[in-house]
Amino acid sequence: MREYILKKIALMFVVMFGVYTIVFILCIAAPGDPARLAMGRRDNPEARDILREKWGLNDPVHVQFYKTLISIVTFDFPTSFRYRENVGDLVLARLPRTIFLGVIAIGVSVLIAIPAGIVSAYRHNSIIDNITMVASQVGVATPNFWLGLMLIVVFYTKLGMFEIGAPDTLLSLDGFSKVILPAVTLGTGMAAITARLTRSSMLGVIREEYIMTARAKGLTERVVILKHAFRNALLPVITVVGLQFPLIVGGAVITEAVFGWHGLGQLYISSIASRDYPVIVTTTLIFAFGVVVINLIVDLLYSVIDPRVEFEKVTA
Amino acid sequence: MRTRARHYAMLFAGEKTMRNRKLRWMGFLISLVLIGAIVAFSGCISEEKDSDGDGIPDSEDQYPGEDDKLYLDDDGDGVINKDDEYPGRNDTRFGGAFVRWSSEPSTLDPQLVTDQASIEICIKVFDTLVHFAPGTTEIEPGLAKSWDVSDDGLEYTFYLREGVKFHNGRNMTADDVKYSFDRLVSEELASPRATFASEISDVTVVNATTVKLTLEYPFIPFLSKLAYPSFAPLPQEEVEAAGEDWSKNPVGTGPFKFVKWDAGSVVVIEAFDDYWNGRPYIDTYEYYVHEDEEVIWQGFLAGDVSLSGVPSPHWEEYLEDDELQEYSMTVSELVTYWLYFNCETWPFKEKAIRNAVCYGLKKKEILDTIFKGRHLEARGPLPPSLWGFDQGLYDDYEYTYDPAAAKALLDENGIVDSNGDGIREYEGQELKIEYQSYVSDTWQTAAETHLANLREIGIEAEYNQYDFATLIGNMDEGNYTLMTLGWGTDYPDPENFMILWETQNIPDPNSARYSNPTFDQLAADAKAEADTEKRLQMYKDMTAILQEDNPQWWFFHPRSTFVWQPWIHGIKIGGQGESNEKMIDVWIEPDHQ
Repeated sequence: MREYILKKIALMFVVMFGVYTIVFILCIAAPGDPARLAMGRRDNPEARDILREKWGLNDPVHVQFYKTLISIVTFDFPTSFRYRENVGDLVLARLPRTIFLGVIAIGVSVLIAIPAGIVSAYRHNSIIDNITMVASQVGVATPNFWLGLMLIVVFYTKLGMFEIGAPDTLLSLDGFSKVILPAVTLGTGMAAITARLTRSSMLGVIREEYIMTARAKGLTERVVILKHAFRNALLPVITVVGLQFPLIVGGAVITEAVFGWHGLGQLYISSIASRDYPVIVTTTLIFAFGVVVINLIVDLLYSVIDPRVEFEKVTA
Repeated sequence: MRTRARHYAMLFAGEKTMRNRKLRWMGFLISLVLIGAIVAFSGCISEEKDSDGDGIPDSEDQYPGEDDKLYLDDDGDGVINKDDEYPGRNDTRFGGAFVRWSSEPSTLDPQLVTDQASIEICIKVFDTLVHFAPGTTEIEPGLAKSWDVSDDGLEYTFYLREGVKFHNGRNMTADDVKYSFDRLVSEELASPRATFASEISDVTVVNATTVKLTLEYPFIPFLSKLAYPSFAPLPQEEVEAAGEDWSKNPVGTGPFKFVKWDAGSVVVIEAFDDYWNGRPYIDTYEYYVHEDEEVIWQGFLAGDVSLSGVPSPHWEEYLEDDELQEYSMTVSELVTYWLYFNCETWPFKEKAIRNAVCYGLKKKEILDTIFKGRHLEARGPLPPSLWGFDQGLYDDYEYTYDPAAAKALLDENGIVDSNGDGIREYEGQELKIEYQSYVSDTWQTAAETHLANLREIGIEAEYNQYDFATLIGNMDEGNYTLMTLGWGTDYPDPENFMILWETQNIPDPNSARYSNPTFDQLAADAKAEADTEKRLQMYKDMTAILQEDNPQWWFFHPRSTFVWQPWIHGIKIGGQGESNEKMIDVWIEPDHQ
């Protein structure tokens, strides 16, 4: 297992370097001069040239590539073009909000999806099953920005049940009051996918002979479904929930903007608009790092859920 | 022997004795009268004594020994001056938080600001030598209580108020003005706003409260420019101590002092008790970052937002709601939106084609459809709320929608469709052009109509949207034929519009790449013309030239409608928009504080 983890970590560095290279090339190739944008609507050629020099934009491309890479690897982050502030500070100020939103959204998703999927499978072809599946279809098809706005109009403006905006403190009443609507917005789409997968996975397991055996032993339905069936159906579900992390990141960009949540997603959008390369590169790498770490955790969880999984074999 | 002399002496002595006696009596009487008069007079003086110097004699003084003014209530708030913590301000109005939701500021360093969000905060934290009277674009004294301008218009001497404090408690002096003006143009700062100081050749500290600015050339709109927050005095010790963090820890002399900037989330500023013009009524000004105007509107409806614009999708809702209208105002912004023609390249170097397009594009119908008639159709460069706008020229503008006139104009100039494919040719090429815009639903809707309009007059256009960074790049490089954009004044003077068509300003800000020597001469003369009437005529002449040459297709002048909560009072908004107001007179009813 140790060897497996080490291999995975080594692979992570390769993936990260690949991501860095692609993002850097995209930034350099994109039209639009960040120093010109910093001038606002009216240009100031002298100040623009000074900024280009200061930001290293006049250096050869390979020098820029190397310098940016070194600054990120050594955690001596570059300065944001737009905010003229250390990128590390900018990211750190927002990262906790995005993680908090992501965790709650996944929590919302799992809390809705897994019970719905289990009930749907258990009551296969019943009215509950049909309603759940139609609802999940609607959930998949609903765009986040529309759902977000609808939730705001109903639960914030009309009913006054929840707040919106970015909280001062995340782990507080204010934090939870403000995270519910964006988390539901973000979690609904994922819940729909997870519910459908849980249902189909459970349907497959329920028909297995060992479930029949468990019932024949006289176990209660609760134990049969939750202990024997669900645990075996969980493997593909965990994989999908893990793979949804990138969806969270993508969805967070829009959801954060709608709710004024001010996480990394919103920073990412504004940095692209202002060609703030240091922020774009750093933020992308953080997202990529998050995805590979989650994937590693999911891999490790396989052995917890299914002790038959051996890492050497998985690697092979 | 008695000598004759002695006899006379004795006679004289005898007479003298007699006269002396009389004189003594008279002296005695006069003395009595005088003493009586003095006693009487001194009696009078002691009755009129004003020992506390408040202009009220002690005998009549209700508060002997104290200035009676202390017991008056100058501001009518029911609190006598002696007990009034905020003299000149109505004490019952103090308190509460004014909440705004708007886009994120990029910096709080006033010398780097270019966006409205940053200006909204900086204008309140920093004060300038002169500023605009609330709700207007009229210049009034700020940190400078007065100023002199030399006859040649080259020297501006500003006399600073005494006792103006920075938020750190230190008194502001002329040295701070010099330090700040020098910093603005320094290479180290590389400020985009350094161009604003291009006329200034020298800043001299005359004494602690007098500073003299010398200009390279006479520049009449100079005072308007000085109201921009980039010209605010900064405390050197704070700027240097904060280093790179200065833009997140601003210290100024404005009515509000900085409290916090939670990155990407909220900026909070609070009332500065020692502001020279009186503490603002509101306690805090809280600025939450929300980019989506629909969400901001929902925040307003929920009562969380104090002041908001009315988004176009809700315009009819606004018109039907009496309460919303009661607490609202509409401002004609100092902004004009247009389509740039690239006047330097094919085909719009040809004036006849530009004019034909101006005839050919629908304007009023589009404004009525997209904006429901909120905005004013533009027919020239200057917005109606800007000094220099001329209603006569506006009314007489020739190139309003008339496709028949467009076709006739092109025909007259030999720009015809010779191969019968419906597209005219010019200089041997078919009139196929690109119509560029930034990412905007509004422009997309307008462009859909415009493509059909152009097709009708024999021009084929392809519509493409670009993100702002790419569009600006295309604009600077002249890589366009037709492009959407607009201009809003940085300072309220027509000069700030007319620079857009000066040949010396190609490619930026003269993005149309328009060149006309007559216009250039007028623009140069107007900058130095001290006679207001003559200067006004020059701007009319320039407008007339632009209305005939049409380097742009003039689209509209926006009119912004602002609504506020019924419990908020004292809102004043001028043509520069809500972000340029200091908001010191805004107050919130006690129940909502």
